[in-house]
Amino acid sequence: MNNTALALIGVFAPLSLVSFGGARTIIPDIETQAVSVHGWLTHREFIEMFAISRAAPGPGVTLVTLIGWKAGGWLGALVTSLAIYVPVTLIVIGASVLFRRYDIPPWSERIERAMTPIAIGLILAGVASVLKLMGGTVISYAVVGASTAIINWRRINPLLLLAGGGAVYAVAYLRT
Amino acid sequence: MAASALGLNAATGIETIKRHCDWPTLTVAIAVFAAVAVLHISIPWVVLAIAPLSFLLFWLKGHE
Repeated sequence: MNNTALALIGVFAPLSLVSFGGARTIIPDIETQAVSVHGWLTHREFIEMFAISRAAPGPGVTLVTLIGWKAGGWLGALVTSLAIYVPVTLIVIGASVLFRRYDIPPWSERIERAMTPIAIGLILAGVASVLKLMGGTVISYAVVGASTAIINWRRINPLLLLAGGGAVYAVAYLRT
Repeated sequence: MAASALGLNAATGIETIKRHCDWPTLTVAIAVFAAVAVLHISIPWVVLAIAPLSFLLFWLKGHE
């Protein structure tokens, strides 16, 4: 196994252990490690991969697989996917076996309740982190704000929302 | 598209806050946001430090 593959495992396996609430919660560290620390991709590529991973069907951790692929080809994509899935899967299986064997549902509820605000803070930090990468322009703030408001107001198809955001940027680009 | 995707993520966070709008939730969420987005502390360290605090706050709330 080459150095890049080992580095990918070293970055993503620890993040897997704290990804309460999915890949959305670890975006700030993914960005820091992939862009600033290891230079596997540029800011622009990170933003593009983030958009693709949200638009594509399947789990949100597709972003991580794309980063692995960009950094280390097919081997990178494979080891990164395993590094992000395996540790957290083992924890969830272990916890569910423990909770079932010792019949401690109050503890599982307490853990879930205590971890919820951590996931909230991490999701919003991820939004701030990528928004900063996008340059913090008026149009990016406007599209993020409008998308948040629309999805909280009406449960519309997320693909329509993504297409609408893309259309707004296309119009803004053509006008400049 | 990335901006709309961020909106989807923000909406998830806000929706969850609306469902659990109490003082421990807001305290912990703001602390985590500040640590990661403002102070740029690595997420594993933030979770290790704040998770026990979160348990404590919810335990205290349960005894109010």
